[in-house]
Amino acid sequence: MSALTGMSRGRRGPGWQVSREAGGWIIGVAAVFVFLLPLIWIFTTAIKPPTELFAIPPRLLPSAPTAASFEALFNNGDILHMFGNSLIVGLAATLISLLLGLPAAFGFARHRYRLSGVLLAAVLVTRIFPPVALALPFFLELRQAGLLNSPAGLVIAYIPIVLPLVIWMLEGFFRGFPEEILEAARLDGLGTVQSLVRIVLPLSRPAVAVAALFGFLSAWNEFVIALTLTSTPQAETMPVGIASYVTQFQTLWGQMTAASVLYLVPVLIATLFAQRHIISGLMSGATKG
Amino acid sequence: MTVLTENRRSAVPATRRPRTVARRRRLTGVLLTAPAIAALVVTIVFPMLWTAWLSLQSFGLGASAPVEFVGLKNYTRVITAPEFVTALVQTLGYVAVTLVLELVAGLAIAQFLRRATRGRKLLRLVIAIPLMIAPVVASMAFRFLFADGYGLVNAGLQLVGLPAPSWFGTPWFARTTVLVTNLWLALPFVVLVLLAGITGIPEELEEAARVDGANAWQIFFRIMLPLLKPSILIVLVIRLADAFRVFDSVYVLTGGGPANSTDVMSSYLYRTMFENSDFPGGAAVTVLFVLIVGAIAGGIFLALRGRGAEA
Repeated sequence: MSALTGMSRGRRGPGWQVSREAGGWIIGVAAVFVFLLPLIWIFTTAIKPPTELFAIPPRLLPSAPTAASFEALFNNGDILHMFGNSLIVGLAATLISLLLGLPAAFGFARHRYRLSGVLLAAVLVTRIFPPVALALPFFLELRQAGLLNSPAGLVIAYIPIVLPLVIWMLEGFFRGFPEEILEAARLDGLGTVQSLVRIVLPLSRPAVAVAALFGFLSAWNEFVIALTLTSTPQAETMPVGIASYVTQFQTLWGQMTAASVLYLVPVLIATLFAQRHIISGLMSGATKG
Repeated sequence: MTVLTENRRSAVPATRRPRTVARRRRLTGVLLTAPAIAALVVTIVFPMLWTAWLSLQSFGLGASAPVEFVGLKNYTRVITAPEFVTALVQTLGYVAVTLVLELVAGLAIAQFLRRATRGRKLLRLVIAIPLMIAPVVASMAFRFLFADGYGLVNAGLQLVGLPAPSWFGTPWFARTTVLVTNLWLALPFVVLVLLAGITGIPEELEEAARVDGANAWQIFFRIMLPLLKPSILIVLVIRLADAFRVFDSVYVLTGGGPANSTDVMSSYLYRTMFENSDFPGGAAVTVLFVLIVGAIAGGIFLALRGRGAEA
């Protein structure tokens, strides 16, 4: 469609311009296709009949789309546990991180004290920290507490990943929050907590939403910690479940891609809706590194 | 800023009120940040100190297993293991190569996106997509694409008459699959940060250079690159930390093979703990890993800060 409009617009100009513009469009569309090929491949493989999964030469599109892989996936039933676990763990870790991180980010940004600069730097340095380093202590601690294979254990283990991210993104936003508004709230007799809840939060909704989205995604996509702390289908999260479709003897590509589609669709929808905010949120986090 | 004004206020002993107000503001700051700091102490600082303590002992997972203080024995055992050295060297090599590739590809794509007059919004959205995709799923997709026989990459190579290698069978081809997968995952961040930097460069500069007779390469190396330095530094520091922790793609694509040729620190650490059940050794590797990443990131940070002060 868009390639066509590009060509027809070019036709008004001199001949070489037409071919140049058309060439640009073809290269552009081809580049986008190649770039998105891994994703396209997952979506088309999920609706292929089992006989076409390993076709040689491979075919991009199924001869006739089928829901066979999805049926096999849901007949097994584990996928619902995994999806539920990922959702609960992601939401709980994000909620707790926001409850702790919102006031902390505001305090770091607007109520400085002697050590606050050092402490904020220490929080940000955790961004460099390799998560696998927490695998051993969390595994041993949660094993002792009987919290292996439980969503609660995973939520605790995700706090050190999600919380610094939330503080990182919100601190920069609160630093740019207009002082006049805070001053006005103070003159109206609002305490810090009151002005945070009644004035600052309603005005910061987009920034908080982006921080929440990125926090949720960091838990939703996390793999190595979940891999070490869960080992039963009832407790595993989606990435661990998806990776387990690669067994020693075969890879269940049909079910794996169907599970991946379920896992990706919410994320892709969120990306489409929050597109502009995501890019600006990423920048606000990035430019402070 | 606020600290400055507070100091100035307290230097003037005129009134008492501003001083108590300032003190209350600071106290509020402590109270607001304390819960988050406490949570991070409990979930990061304490586990790491505990790991360091464990790394000096010999212990088993059973309740009756004897715990014994062994000093640095775990460390000497780990450091002298050839597998540890292999994983460390390969991690450093991977970090270096991936950073260079990402910067080169990122700069090229950012330049192209800046020029693209039509469809720029769509392209920006497309390039942002891998950012949201779980590394595990992306790695699965590439595992399928690079597969022998039914993989699309080899089908494409054969179509144009090139030999189809066994991607996961030989060290350098296996390493290539890990590099390509992570390049795909990292490009959104690199491109978007560089694009923001490039968009911030006034076009008159480029225009003036062209009038002065500079060619495209000169403009790029003499004008764009120096002005992009802050963006490049952001990419370097953040992607360095990300590259050091690479795990998901190695685990899914190659499992560290063939013959440990794609093993990195994270996968080695995982194997030490959960396949070889060597938890004391794992504790020692954890401590070494954190120290190495911290030293390199800290060194780069200091070097960059020093250079920033010069400029």
